[in-house]
Amino acid sequence: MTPDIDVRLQSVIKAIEQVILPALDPNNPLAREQAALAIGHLHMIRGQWPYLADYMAICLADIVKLGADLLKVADGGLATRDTANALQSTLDQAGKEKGGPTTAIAQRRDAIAVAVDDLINASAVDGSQSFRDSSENIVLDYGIHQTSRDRAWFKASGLDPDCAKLPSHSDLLAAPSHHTS
Amino acid sequence: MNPSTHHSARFDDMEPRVKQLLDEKLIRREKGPYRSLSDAEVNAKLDRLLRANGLNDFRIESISRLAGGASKEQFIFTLVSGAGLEKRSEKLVLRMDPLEGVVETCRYREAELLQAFHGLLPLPEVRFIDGEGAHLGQPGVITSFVSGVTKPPAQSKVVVSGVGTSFTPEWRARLVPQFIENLRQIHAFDWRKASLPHFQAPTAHREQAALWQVNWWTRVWHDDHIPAYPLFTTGERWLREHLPSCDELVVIHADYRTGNFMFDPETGKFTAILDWELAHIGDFHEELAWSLQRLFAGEPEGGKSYICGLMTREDFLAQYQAATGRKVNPRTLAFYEALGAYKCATQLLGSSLAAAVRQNNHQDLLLTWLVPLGHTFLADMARVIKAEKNI
Repeated sequence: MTPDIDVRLQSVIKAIEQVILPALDPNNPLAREQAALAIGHLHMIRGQWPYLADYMAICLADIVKLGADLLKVADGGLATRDTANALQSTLDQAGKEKGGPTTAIAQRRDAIAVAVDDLINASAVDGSQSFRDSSENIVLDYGIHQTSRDRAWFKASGLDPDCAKLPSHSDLLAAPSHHTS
Repeated sequence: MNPSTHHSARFDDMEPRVKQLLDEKLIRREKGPYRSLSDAEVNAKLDRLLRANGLNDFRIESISRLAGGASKEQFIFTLVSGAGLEKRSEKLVLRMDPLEGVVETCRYREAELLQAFHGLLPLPEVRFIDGEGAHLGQPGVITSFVSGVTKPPAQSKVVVSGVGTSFTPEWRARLVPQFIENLRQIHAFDWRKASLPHFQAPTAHREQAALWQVNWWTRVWHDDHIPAYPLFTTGERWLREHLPSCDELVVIHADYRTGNFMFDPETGKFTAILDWELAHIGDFHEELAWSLQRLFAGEPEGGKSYICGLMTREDFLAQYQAATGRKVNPRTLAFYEALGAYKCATQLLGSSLAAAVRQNNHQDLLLTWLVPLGHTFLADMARVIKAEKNI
């Protein structure tokens, strides 16, 4: 682990800032913009990578909770019932898989998201009105929570209009998740 | 459920030219990854296009790439033609489609509108077009170069594509009347009498204007998304269940905001309205809702948010209504605010991410920098829908 990821990122940033960027043609705005963006990305990655596993785990836990909440109220015709059963199977499978690299956590999250999407789409075909109403509220609440988290995760870009109000990475992960709220 | 039947039923009713563009994109994007062009390659492509347009005695000088612009690959160059007393030199702008980018649009449509509004609005002039990419390799258009700035000369803050630009009260006083008047002109344009062969109008029924837009952008999301997002799916369902009717079809610029107009840094007079690539015929509420997107606002001042950095939401709507005589329907506006946020989120979390993953853009790095902004738009879409549900 020596030198660790942070030290290597720091060294790359220094090389771009102090050697590569000054050597670029001042009349090549695209090259200079790309170098500046590379530095920005590296600074952001430096802030994110120590928290990445925790971040992905909390995102996975929340989408598992979303799937379970939808299954509690799922109601409708054949398409809705079929996709609800498929979502249940996906959740069961995800529950059996533990750990692994962050890419595996992302795959579990994505598989559940696809199954949730299928259920929402099926509800547009033959879901009961009460399920359509309640699922809309459940997904909106989940989505507002998740987008807040995603926005905080990328706050270092400085592009978000609420940048100053978004929590730090450590505060973000210490806060109760949708799963437990 | 038969997925293909479901897919077909949801997506079929779309402006035909838009559908054609999206179909072609699916084929073209498999040609990647894309490698940025060298000046020599751009020179050779321009040479082919200019000769195909009948020019023989010319030189291409001072090719340089424009920064920004992840939507199109853009270059400035000088075309020197003729000799002796006939010698002519003109600075021109080349806009070319990347293999994949933030949006998939049509160079013919862009050129047709620039020509249709010539003399009515401050615009660059179309010089050459290669709508199919027969000579440039990719579709492209060449226009005159227009001088001007997109932000006040004294503003030191770095902004991307105009996002977050702020103006002082003095600049606002200069720019706001022109912003409103040019918008009035766009929406007053009689498109039925114009030559716009690559456009179709949603005239089949009163909800078709909204339906075409929903079908356009949900199709893009379905084609481009990498991870699934339940919020997109729920947003789509809500949009489909709340299509507003439209009584009056107008030309919509569809990206009318700060960053897409230029002005003289001395006088403040508008010199050009840019980026017509998303323009179409639709509901004026769509245009207003787009300009109202929170991300296009400048930094709040004294607790007030200024849309496009120019005026408050209330002032914008009041001035537009006073200038045009139209009445804004708050429910229709809310629908298009949700759709506008969905659309921006799709362009970022869908198309931009997909282009970067396949390395199909000249600005993959910029795209991945901008992609997370899609979360902000998604949050705004959810906020609008929640508010509408509570009415």
